[in-house]
Amino acid sequence: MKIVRNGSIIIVSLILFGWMMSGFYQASLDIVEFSKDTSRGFLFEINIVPFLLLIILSGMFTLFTKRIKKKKILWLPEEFEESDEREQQITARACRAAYISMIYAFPIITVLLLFYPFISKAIPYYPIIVFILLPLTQIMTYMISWQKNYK
Amino acid sequence: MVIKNRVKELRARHNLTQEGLAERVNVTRQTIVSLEKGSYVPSLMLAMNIANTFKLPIEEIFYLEDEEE
Repeated sequence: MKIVRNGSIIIVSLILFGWMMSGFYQASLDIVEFSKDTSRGFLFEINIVPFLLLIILSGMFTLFTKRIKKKKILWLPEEFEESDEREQQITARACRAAYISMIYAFPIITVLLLFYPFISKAIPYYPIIVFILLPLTQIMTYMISWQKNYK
Repeated sequence: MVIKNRVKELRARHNLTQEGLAERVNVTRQTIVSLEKGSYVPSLMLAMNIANTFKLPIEEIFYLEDEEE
């Protein structure tokens, strides 16, 4: 099913994006260390594996969707299936569900951020992971609602 | 009360496939499937397009029925 395929690709992309940003966060920590003490060498490490994977995945996805959906508006998410009134209704319901999920997920995610001081040493990029949980929750809710109403 | 329809019966009478009817009224085949199953209530526009296709008044295709217990 298109919605499952597109949604899964978006979820994988988000996870890769989070992984990439965690790497960048580590690098920015190194850069901050350098700015504090310029006597030490300007050296930082970045894991480019998630970056490359994300570029490959997005490239493949763009080419694939461009080939099969020429008439689709480019700036709309691929998960939006609105080729007739029933699909528009299903999409509207799924968006409603995603909005409701945001209302519930947002305070939980904010509370999760309170744990940051306890684990900031072990996982310095913890806020990035927690923040990505919000779109993940919304996309998954959107997909589940779409699937449920499509039958 | 629920809205029922005679789309399946009329489609067979007019020798139309689900795909054929979907093309004529400009929706996806899945919408016709849902309509026939009764899981989707169409908009007035779609109901009118279907009525035009079958050359019948809307009320002869779509009708109200008491909900089954």
